[in-house]
Amino acid sequence: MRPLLQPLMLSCKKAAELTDKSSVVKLSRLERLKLRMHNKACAVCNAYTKHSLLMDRAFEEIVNPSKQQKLELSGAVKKRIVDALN
Amino acid sequence: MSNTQSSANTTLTLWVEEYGDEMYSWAFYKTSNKEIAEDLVQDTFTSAFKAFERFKKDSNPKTWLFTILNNKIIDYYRSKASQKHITETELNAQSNVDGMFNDLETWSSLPQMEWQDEEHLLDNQEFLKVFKACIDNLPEKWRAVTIAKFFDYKKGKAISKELGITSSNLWQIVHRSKLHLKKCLDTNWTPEQ
Repeated sequence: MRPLLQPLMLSCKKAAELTDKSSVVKLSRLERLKLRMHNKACAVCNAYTKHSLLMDRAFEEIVNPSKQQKLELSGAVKKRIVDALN
Repeated sequence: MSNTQSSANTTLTLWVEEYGDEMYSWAFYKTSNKEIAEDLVQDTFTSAFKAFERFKKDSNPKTWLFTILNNKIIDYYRSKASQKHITETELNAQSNVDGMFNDLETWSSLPQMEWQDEEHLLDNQEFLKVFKACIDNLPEKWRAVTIAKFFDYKKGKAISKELGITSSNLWQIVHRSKLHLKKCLDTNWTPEQ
């Protein structure tokens, strides 16, 4: 997409920015409108938005250790920790 | 060593055995890095040793240790978030991310439109493994800030306050991380067809 043809048009770079911004802070109505318009016309950015949301969910998955495989401290590290107590 | 100290020592040595692995798993998934997780667990036990007198004998040791550990994790995020010094890894990652767009602000090379096994990715352990490796590859500051955002599902404002950075600084770092991760996953998860 060629940017700046209209005031409402976003470049792909700005669209990707707004996509990721939206998972951290709430977008303004104008920002949401611009992003929706851009993504309707731009399949690549639309796919980026899809992947950005998937990455959010994957993050939530992996910071939640209850679902994850349990790890073990090595004997050497345990020893290091105990030695540091003295 | 005094009596109190030696009893603290004996108790904590038992606790390292009993809770160490679980604390390490927890810290690892909150930092995505083994060395950092090990250091955080070690710091937790050192602090617990120093503060042992304040531990109430009828309270739960696990709860107490995890409270200390979580504070250490937040301190770690905060210290990384406020880091002014730009590392070489960060410079390289930044130029990698900048290169994803050209001067017209369109994508310089087409990113993957579809990832392999997209519908079941979150149940796919192979994918999560690749994703974790990509996260571990992020510059430390980006990694810490981005994981902090997902730590306990707080709103952006609360997290940026906790990290001591502005909310626009927070989303910009998350944005850079995600572009970097997207590129990493495009290359390592969905091989060229």
